[in-house]
Amino acid sequence: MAEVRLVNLAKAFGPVQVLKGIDLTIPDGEFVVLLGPSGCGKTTTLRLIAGLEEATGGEIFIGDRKVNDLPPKERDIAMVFQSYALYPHMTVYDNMAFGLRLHGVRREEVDQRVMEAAEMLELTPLLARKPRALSGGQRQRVAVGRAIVRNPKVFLMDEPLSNLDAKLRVQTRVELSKLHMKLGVTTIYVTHDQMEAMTLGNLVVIMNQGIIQQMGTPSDVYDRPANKFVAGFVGSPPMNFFPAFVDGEEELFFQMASFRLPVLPDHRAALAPYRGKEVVFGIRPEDVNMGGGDGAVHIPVTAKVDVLELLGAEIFLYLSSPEGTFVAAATSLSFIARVDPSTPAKEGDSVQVVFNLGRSHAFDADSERAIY
Amino acid sequence: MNIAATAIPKEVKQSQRYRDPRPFSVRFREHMRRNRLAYLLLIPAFVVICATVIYPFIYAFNLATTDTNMYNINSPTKQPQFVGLGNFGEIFSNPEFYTVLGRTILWTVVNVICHVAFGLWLAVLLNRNLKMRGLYRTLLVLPWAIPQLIVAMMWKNEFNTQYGSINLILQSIGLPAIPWLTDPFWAFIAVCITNIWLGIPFMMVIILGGLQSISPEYYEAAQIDGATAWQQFRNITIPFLKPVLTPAIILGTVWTFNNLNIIYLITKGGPNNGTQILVTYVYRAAFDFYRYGYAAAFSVVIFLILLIFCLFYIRATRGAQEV
Repeated sequence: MAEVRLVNLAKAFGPVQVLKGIDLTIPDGEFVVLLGPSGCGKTTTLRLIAGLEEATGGEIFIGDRKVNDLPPKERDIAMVFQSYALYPHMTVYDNMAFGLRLHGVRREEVDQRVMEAAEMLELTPLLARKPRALSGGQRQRVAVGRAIVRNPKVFLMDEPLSNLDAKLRVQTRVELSKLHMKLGVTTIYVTHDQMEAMTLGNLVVIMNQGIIQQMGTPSDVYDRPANKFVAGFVGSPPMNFFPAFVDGEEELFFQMASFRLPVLPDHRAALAPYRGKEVVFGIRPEDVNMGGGDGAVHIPVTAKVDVLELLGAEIFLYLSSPEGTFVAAATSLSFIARVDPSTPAKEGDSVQVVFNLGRSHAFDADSERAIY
Repeated sequence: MNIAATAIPKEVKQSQRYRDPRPFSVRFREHMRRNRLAYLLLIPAFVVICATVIYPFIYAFNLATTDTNMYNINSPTKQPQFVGLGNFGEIFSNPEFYTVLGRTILWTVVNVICHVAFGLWLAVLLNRNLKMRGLYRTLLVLPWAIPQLIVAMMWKNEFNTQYGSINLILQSIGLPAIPWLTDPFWAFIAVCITNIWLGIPFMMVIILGGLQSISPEYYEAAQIDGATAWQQFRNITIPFLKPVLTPAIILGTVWTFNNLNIIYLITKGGPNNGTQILVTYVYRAAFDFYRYGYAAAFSVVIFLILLIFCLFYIRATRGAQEV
């Protein structure tokens, strides 16, 4: 087990700067998920740690050792690939034993370690099979098995669940979590699936355009996003954003295109410098509630239901508020509400909603950094 | 009731134990009625294959059992006689057959091993991120694009004892000239060099195609597993190339075993029969000695040797299987 430390790590492919100097410390034994959209640099980061790509700048430390110039085999890591990369001409046993044999491990020990891993992953009856005779889930377990027999300091996983169907993905996610608890090995896991990130990671690192946007616990990144990108990327459906004008003297207001919301006393200090300026108001769909409000803080907003999506346990309402002219850029405001399935709204209805302002967010319109 | 029109459920037809009780003629007619267009479309290809493969094949087998030669093939007075397995008896009782067979095997083994080894080496080089890779590929495929006649003539001149460039180079560094085309041993080396040079591009192209179909992730996984370059080559490259290499080696072996052009054009099997292989021997029997029946029997023997080789090779490598 070891800490992994990236210092000002950069990578360019020709003229394209994929990683723009990232600093990241992954504590020993943590399960860290690198999350971001396609092309954000998360897989590149993983491949740099693995030694499959050469960094164009910065340093990589695994434990106390700087590993920039070490080949993958000397970094004491194991990797699970998205396609699993199981050797098709070898049996499950040989796939798992291959790395150990190359490292000159004694035959009896190879046997013992492979059997232990196979037992742990319920692969024992499949050891004599070739990968083509396995299901997707079994292949995935073999790939994990191949990684754990090596007893590496760090596990690297590159979207290992993306080839599984939805049901198996949930099941395997739980198994991976249990495995990590059992082995306690530092794990770096790359995914673009936020559900995986939020459920698996002790820590989530959100990346975009080669830069780390935020690192924190899953609840940190969900409840206290560092910027508009994180706020919009984490959560499904995504956070609603409204261009808003900060208005008022003593009491502040968000003036939207067609309605106005009060700024809570807790948020006034943070928003004071933005008086008379434009900001971005953010609210998650679950914080948009049906109802008339109390008229003071929870001011009702009238909106039309454009589309209604029933998901069983909840309903997504795609709403739009009437056109307004106050903020020139926005002519109509569309937003999503996540409401109880007993809600009587129908498509085309006009409904009243209130925003849970205590859970609202505001972002700087230019830098997109969170104001509160 | 019309038997042909009786509907038999599909699942009953597919069951292994089911045997259609209708007479063959009825079943045949129904089959033809259903597949008329398919057979119609197959006819042109079938006719061509009959004319170019099946008829000559049967004709050669037939010819092999006769004493057909220049004097009786078109003679109004003499007819070729049926000699049964006589030609085969003559072949197998001739000690020269075994010498030539041995040389043919040596010729084939040397050539195919060199084709595969050099082809693999060049393919691995060309599969890397080289600058001007396209240019190298084109240059290396060139020998394949040159007509064999030209290649043979070119190399024949290169091997000329007095003015061939190989000997000129050897002499310029103080080594003696080699009697390339006048000494049986060196003549054999000379034809081998020519045919190796000629056969490398084919193997290289086939292997390069195979290499490019190997996902880089396997190599990455092997690197992380701790495999050296050689271990990656042995454990990833070779097993992945097997499905490509097996048919290529079979083809290469058959082509080399039967390669008349190079030897005939460079040495004509000489000097002193030192470069004679089975196929040049057959050619000589047929077109120098005009013993058509004997040559046909010889061809049948070659065919059987290659057939046995192919069957054994496919079995031994199980290369026809998917990786």
